[in-house]
This record gives sequence, structure tokens and C-alpha cells, in this order.
Amino acid sequence: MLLINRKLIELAKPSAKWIFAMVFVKLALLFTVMYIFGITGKVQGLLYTQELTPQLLFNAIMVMSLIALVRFIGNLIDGELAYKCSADLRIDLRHKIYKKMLELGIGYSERMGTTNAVTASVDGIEALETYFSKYLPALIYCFIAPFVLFFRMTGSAPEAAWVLLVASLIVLPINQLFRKVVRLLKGEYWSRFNKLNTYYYDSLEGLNTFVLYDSDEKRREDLSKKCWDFRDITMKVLRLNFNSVIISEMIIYISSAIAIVFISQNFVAGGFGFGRAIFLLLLADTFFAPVRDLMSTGHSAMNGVAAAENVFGLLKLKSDRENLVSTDVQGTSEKSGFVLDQVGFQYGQDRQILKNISMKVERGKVTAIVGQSGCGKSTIANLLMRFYDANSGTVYLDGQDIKTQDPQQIHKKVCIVPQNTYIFTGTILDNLKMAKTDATVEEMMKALDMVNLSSFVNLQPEGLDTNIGERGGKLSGGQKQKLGIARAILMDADIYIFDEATSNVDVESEDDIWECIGKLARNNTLVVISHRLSTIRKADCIYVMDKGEIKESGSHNSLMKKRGLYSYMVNEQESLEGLFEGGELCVS
Amino acid sequence: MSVEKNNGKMSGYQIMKRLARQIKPVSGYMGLCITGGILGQLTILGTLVAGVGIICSLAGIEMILNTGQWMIVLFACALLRGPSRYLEQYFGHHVAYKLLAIMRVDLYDNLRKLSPAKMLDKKNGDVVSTAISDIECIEIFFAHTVAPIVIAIVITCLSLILCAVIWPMVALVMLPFYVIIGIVIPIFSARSGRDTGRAYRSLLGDLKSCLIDSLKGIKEVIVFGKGEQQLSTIDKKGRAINEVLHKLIRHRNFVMALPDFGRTLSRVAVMAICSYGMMIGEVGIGGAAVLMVVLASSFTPVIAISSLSGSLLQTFAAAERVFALEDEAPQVAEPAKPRKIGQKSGEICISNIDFAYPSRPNQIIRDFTMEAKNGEKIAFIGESGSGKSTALHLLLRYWDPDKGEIRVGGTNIKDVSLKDCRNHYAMLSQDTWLMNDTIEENIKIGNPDASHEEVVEAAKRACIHEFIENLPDGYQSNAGEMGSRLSGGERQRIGIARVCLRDTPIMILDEPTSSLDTLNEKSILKTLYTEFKDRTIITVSHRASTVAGCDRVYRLDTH
Repeated sequence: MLLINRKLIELAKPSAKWIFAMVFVKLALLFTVMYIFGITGKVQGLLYTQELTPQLLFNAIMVMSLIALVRFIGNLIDGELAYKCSADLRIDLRHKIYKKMLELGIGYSERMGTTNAVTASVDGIEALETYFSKYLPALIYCFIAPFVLFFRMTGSAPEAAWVLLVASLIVLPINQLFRKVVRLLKGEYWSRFNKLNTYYYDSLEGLNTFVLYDSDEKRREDLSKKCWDFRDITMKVLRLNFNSVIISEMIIYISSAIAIVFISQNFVAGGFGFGRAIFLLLLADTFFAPVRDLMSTGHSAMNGVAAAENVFGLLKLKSDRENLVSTDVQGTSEKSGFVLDQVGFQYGQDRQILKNISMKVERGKVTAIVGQSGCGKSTIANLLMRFYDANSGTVYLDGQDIKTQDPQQIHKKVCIVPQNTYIFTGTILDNLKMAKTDATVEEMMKALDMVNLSSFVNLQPEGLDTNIGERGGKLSGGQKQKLGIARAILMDADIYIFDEATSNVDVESEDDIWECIGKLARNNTLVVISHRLSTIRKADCIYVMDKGEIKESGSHNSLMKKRGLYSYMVNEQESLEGLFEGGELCVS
Repeated sequence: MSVEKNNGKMSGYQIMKRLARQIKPVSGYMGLCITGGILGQLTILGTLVAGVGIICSLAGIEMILNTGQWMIVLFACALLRGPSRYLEQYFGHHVAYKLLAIMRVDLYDNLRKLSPAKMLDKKNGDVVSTAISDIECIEIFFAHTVAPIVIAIVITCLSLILCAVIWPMVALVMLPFYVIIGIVIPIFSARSGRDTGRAYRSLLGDLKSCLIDSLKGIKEVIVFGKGEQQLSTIDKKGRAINEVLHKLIRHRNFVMALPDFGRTLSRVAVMAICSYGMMIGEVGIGGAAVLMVVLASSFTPVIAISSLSGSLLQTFAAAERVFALEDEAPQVAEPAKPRKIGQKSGEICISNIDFAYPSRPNQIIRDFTMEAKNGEKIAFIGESGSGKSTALHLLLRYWDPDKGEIRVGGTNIKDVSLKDCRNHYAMLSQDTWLMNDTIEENIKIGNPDASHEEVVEAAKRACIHEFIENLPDGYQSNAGEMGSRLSGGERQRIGIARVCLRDTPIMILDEPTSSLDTLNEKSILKTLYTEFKDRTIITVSHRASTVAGCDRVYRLDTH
């Protein structure tokens, strides 16, 4: 099979000079081979006619040793060039992929799974090395070398030269009959490779769950099936590849045999001497070396080609969010906070999540959004951050349509603390610096103090440099969330959105966080989303949501007087707190 | 299996020995592959010998066979070449990919034993990289190393015999070339590049972990405007990889240039010795022609080994990473003679246990004692970091306590098989993990044999049935894809549904209601405390409402 991919070749353009330099080195090496064969043939001829003198032999030995050295150097140069072929290219591609992910935003994982993106940008892109630095040069060389050899042979053995040339020109197109392999590679092979990767990753993430529920045996069976599926498709691709190899080898060796017969005929006819006959025999044998070289590189270049399609597909994805041109009528200096005007939203073709939402987040005030889970509270937060754009209606930030504002600019003003703040692998310091690269130790400790985490950090022998494991795995849920909030405080944003910020933490951390939110409320604009009603009583305005709609709004007192949904929920919660009698307290 | 530990570093020989052991069950196929390989090499040499034979016999030199017979040999070799190569390639890869699939599953089996204690310190991205990419690298050993080594040995022996038949001196002169190219250079190159190969594989794993982190945390990256910074980190890692790759390629080409150099010198040597032999009358012109033409080609398999040693660097490094994971011992040992848990299986008795995490200095649990009778509802409370969850983990035998013992149903859990021990509990952990499958399958993790009706019943108990029904695809909706859209409360209720599917005497709930709103909390608590009346339930919670219904409350203090 020939692995020719137009997009990949286009990609190789910046490296063209290195690739052609490699072809040049290969050709130079070919000339050394022909020179060696020439000397071998000459010596044979002289031996045959018994004319070889020790002096001639000595000369031949010296020249051939010199050529050996030249070849050695040539091979080393080849390596340097090989590296250059793909070095910048691979870094550049990886850069582009992550940039694309940033552009797609938090919805990227629905368009392209995480493991998929990671596999493409690590394994896939590394596999391209072979394609650019071995396969492409070998491919180009394959189209030139036969002609060089042809012109060397055609003078003495024209029939053999023609047979070999025609055969080597046929071999490549015949390989194209197997281009189905390439299709298979891009499609099924890569997708199963990906599935295996994703599935394995998933199986590790959930390993603890599987073991606890005794489902690990079943998971193992399914994983095993995926492993064998991948093995089957690999063999399918390879079988096709081997079929192409077997046909090529047949053509190569049969035409070589025919060429040898022609050479011996010319020899008998007296066209040339014994030495030249041996020389031609050696040339005929080496005629197909470039093609064989190409075929043996094919196997290792396969993964790169398979991955490439994926990388290109990934780079082609478009963001849902379109930036409108900034109209800038009212000016950006206005500080009117958020205004939502009849906003509707749904993810793709899913059910409508938000219907006709109109609300105000006034600067300097605390706005709360409450409601049962699934009512669309968090979706509003996503719209405020412009992670998604509303399907209908308009979201204004400081008097301007949010669609005319660059998300990066929005994020300088507005910061969100989600339910499960993501903690990055590394140290506490690394995580804090995410929010403010040049934060001083004092600033960081102050932020940690706000969430009552500074004493914990001080207790650690390594302080801020304490490694907190993969995704903060060595911290408790509460500590992770508090660290996430300290990080958000370092951002020093105008508006903070707390999206169920305390729902996954223990009671002490919850107290710490609410205390911190109380302090922040003095100087900042806050949006607090919660289902714990007791926590947002003091909010300036409470929006009560149900099934994607706003049912009521107002202060705690006014809502309680209404005796609507809000007061019903508050009473439910209060009665629940007293539902069970306390048990005997044992102190350990 | 002996643990060959030296910082996890193994010699190339140890790695090859251990990998070779894996081949045993498929040695028949390997034999076919080797046969094909030897046949293939013989046809290559045969073509050349026949060519020389034809020319020589036409030139009137005595060559054993006549011209016509050499022609037959020539075409026989040409025809055999394709099929023999197919045989070699097909069976070589057949064996390789079979073994890779087996290795991947075996690795997972060991990881299962390591979970959860030993898995905490590992980066999943790194482990996946080992399980998929590193194991894929080992293909080079199974499909491209084992057979070529045998083929090279056989072809070398045959070539030396051919030399010896023509003139023993030639064999003597050639021997060092075979030894240097086939043995000395590969060993030298494998040794000299080991660290580079290791560095490359580990940098790839590192980049993967970094990318996974940057992608899973993309929300934070975007919110904090750190996209550019992450990009430059990724670029930096890419450049570090390139630096190592540069070394690796340089090494690869050096170890490929060396044997090529050797082969060209061997041509010089053959030419010299044959000419000398002819001058002193030891070698005929036919013999000289055959040797000068054919011997250089007999190096092909030997050179294949040399050029492999470059790729083998990565393979060795990859195999090392695989073995390191395979050899890791679990945190807790299976009992030699497992016993069954006794009659009153809901009874728990924890007496005077101490515990400190292996890598951390402070003792997290000190002299903790606790007792629960069948059907009792117990709560653990305490500040964060006081060891509430740790106590649950000791009960599940993630770790063993340093002092004291834990008895369930009267049996020390150390004497029970890990499987029986964990099957004794239904555990709800703090974070509910959802797999990339339908919601129904996710609930069924609790009991893979459950019927659809049972799943629905469990979902109703967990107050999540209505929510699921409202999804476009109901129970068949994919939970993984929606993972980011499901709220913490929804995930938690799926977790509770899982627990409800499990029929075990003891339930362990780690913060079961932390992300539930009031209405759901109320009905779920009612379900747990009434419908599971006869089960022992241990709850860790910070909520007064959740803990209030319990029979006894234990407070753990931070030490």
C-alpha cells in the first residue's frame, strides 16, 4: 500500500527542504553503492582474466574503504535531517490542537472526548515522525532511484534495464490497489484504537467503583473484548498490507530473475566481459532496494497516517459561539452588571433547559438563584460566563450584548466557582498561580486565610510547595473546594458566581466558605446559586426557579409572605432538620 | 515471578528473557514465522547464487549445476520469495498482537489488585499510556526481534559453512564481521541508549498527564485566562520531547550507520581474501565470484538486528514501565486460607485501631473503638481530616490498621478473601463516578445481573427515576457524555440507586446527602432508614438532618 495523504503532504511543506535534502543524501548513497559494485565487478573481471596485480588489488581496497567511510558519514547526516523533518511540525500541531480546544470551550468534550484528543495529540503526532522523516523521503526516492539505475544499466543490458524499470514503475501503482488499507486505517483502525484508549482510561477512573461493587470481573471481560477488537482490526489492516507485500515481492523477484536471464544472454552474445556481468547482476539485485525500503517503512508510518485524519478532523471543528461586532453604543464604562432579557437555551437538540428567563444581577449586590436540582440554575451561570450562548433573547453585561464581548475580557471581570472546582496536578502554589501568575506569597496566604486554609498550609512541612497529587487527590473534598475559592479570590474579579459551591463539602468547610462569601459580599457583586435555602436568606434578591422558568423573585421576607414555592421549600427543609431524633453521642 | 528490582531498571537481557517467556504458549506460530523468515532469506541468497551460477557456467566455469538447472533454481527462488515472506510477516504479527492483547488484560488484572490504595499515587493518564502505547511498542520485540535473531543465527551459520566449503580461511576472516555486526554493535547500542529511550517514553507519559489535566480543567484554564500559559507549557514539553527524540534519532542512525560501515568493510575483506586465495590457488574463480557477490547479502538479517537495537530502546523502556506496574504488590494481602464471614453478618466490631498512611507522618486514627449490631444505624462525624472516611476505608480493607482489629460477623476481615469482604458491603463514595455508558448500565454497576425492573425500582428509591424518564433517551441516555451536564445531586442519586441494587448486610454511606436538595434528601433518608431496616448502615455526614436518624453517633477527632 502507498500511504499518500494530500493533507499530510501539504503539512510537510515547511519541511520540504529537509525532506529533499534526505532524498539527495539517499541518492548520494546510491552512487556509492554503484561505485562499490563497479569495483567488485572490475576485480572479478581481472581475476577471471588473471590480470589482477597486488597493486591493483591494494588500490581497490583503499578506494572501497574510503567509500565505506563516506557512507558512514552520509548515514549520520541522514539522521540529523530526519530529525529536522518533523521537529517543529509536531510542536506546532499540538499547539494548534489545544488552541482549538480552548476555542471550543467547556463543551469540547462533547464534540471530542478528552482521551481522544490526548491520544491524537501525543501518540498520533509522535507517530507522524516516521511518516515525515522516513516514509516521505523514501517515497520520493522511490521515483528517482530506478531511473538512475536504469541509465547505469541500459548501455550494456538494455532489455534487463527496461524490464527492471517497468517493473519498478508498476509496483507502486499496483500497491495503490490496496489503498483500501488507508481508508481502513483512518476509519475503523483509529476509531478502535481510540475506543480502547478511552475504555482503558474509563476503566481506570472507575476502577475503585468496579472493585467495590464486584463489577470488575465484568469490566475486565468488556475491556478484554476491546483489546481483542483492536487486535483484530490491526491484523485486518496488516493482512491487506501483507497481500500487497506478497504481490510486490512476486513482481520484484520474478522481474529480477528475468533481468538476470537477459543479462546472461547479453553476456553469451559477447556484449561484455565476465566482470561487467557480475556488476550488472549486483545492480539488478539492488534495483528494488528503494521500493522494499518504502514498504518496510510503511508499517511504522501507519499509525501516523491513521492519527492524521483525526487531528485534521479535530482542527476542523467550529465553535458554536459566534462573536458579533461590538456596537459599543452605551460605552463599556457602564457598570450595570448582568441583565437577562427573555433568554431561552437548550443544548443541541435536547429538551429546552431555560425558558424566557429575565433577571438582573445588580452591581454591589448579592443575587441568589434557588430551585431544585435540574431546574436550570447552573445553566444560567454558564450563560453568564459565556461558556455557551443563549438560543433566544439577550444577555447583557454592563449594558452590552455579551455576544459582542470577547470571552477573555468577560472572564477578567467575572469569575465562577463551580460545584467541583478543578484542582490541577501539582502543588498548592501551582494552583494558586493559575489565577495570578505574579501573586506574592503574602497575597496567596491572604487568599488562603479568607477560606481558613492558611493554617493547614502552614502545618505542611513544604507549605505552599506541598504536592497535592493528581487532581488534588491528597486533599479532602472540602479542602479542594476551599483552595479553588482562594484561587478565585486571587483573580480579583468584579463579579463572582458561586455555583453550588458548598454542596460537596463537609460542614466545617461549608461554614468557612459561607463566611468567606459573606466577606466578599462587602466589596463585590455576587451571584449565589444554591439549593440550601438557609444559606441565601440575606441575599438582596432571590430568584426561585422551577423547570427552567423563574417562578418568583424578591427578598427572603417578601417571598415568605407570598406563601409560594419558596416558602413551601423553606418549610420543607426546616421540618426535615427536625425529622429524626438524635442518637447517643459516643466520643472516640 | 521474581521481582527484578533495581529502581525498576532492568538489563536488556532480563527484559528480553521475561518477554520471551510470554511467547511460550504461541511458540508454534512463532516457529512458522521463523521458518518463513529463513526460507525468505535463503531465496534472496539463492537468487544471487543462481545468477552467479548462470553467468559462471556460461563462461565455462565448473559450477556443480548446469545453466538450465541454475535457471530452475533462479525461478524457484523468485516464486518462493513472496509466500515465504508472507508466512514470516503474518505469523510474526499474529503472535505479536495476540500477546499484546493478553498483556493489556493481564495488566488490568494486576491493577485491579492494586486498587484503590496503590492507585492513589498514580496518574491515570500515565497508566493508560503504559497500557496502550507502551505495550504497543513491545510489538517490535515479538514481531521484529525474536524471529530475526533466530534467522540471523541460522543464516550466519549457513554462510560460514558455505565459506568453509570454498576455503576455510574465508570463514575465519568473516567470523569477526558477523560477531561485531550481529552481537557487539547491538549490545553496545542497546546499552548506550537506554536512558534516552527511557526518558522519551516517560516524557510522553508526562505530556499525556499534562494534557489530560489541561483538558479536564479547561473551564478553570478559560476562566483564569491561562490558555496562553497552558499552550506554552505544552510547547515546552513538546520541545523537551524533541530534544530527547533528537538524541534518539541520532543514536538510531549511528547504530544503523555502524553495521553498514561494517558490511562495506566486509566486502573489502572478502575481495581481498578471495583474490589472495585465487593467487595462491586455494579458491577457484567460481567460488570467488559466489562469495564476493553473495556474502554481503548474508549480512541482511544480522544488520536487521543492529538496526532494531535502535527501536528496541523504546521497547525496553516501554517494557520496563509495563513490568513495573505488573510487579507492584497490592497494599493488603489476601489471606492464605480465607474464611467465611460468620452468621450475624451485619455485626461490626472495631477494637482499638491505630492507623497512619504509609507515606504520611501523622497518625490519622488513634485507638478507635466502635461496635454495631445487626440493623443498627451508626454515624461518624468529625472535622475534615479527622479520619471519618479513612475509618470507612479500613472497614473496606483498602488498608490494614497498624494496630487493633476489625471484625465483621465475628470474623477478622484479614482472614476473609478481599472479594468476600468487599461483597459484604454496599458502599456509596463521596464522588459518584459515571462510566461512559447508558444510565441503566451505570446503575447496574451495583449489580450486573439486575433486570430492568430492578433498576427502575432502585432509581425510584433514589428519587432519580423521574429525572431519567424526562431525558430524551430515558434510561438509555449516555451518562458519560452528559457527565459535565449532570449536577452533583443527580450523580449522587445515581450512586444511591447503585447502592440500592446491592443486597448486602452492611451499607456504608460516605456523605450520602451532601449534594441533595431538601426534598430529595427527605425521601431518600426515609427510604434508607425504613426499607433497609434490617441492614447495618454506617453513615459519614456533616448534616444534622442526616445524622439525626441514627442510633449512635461517633465523633472522630483530629490528632
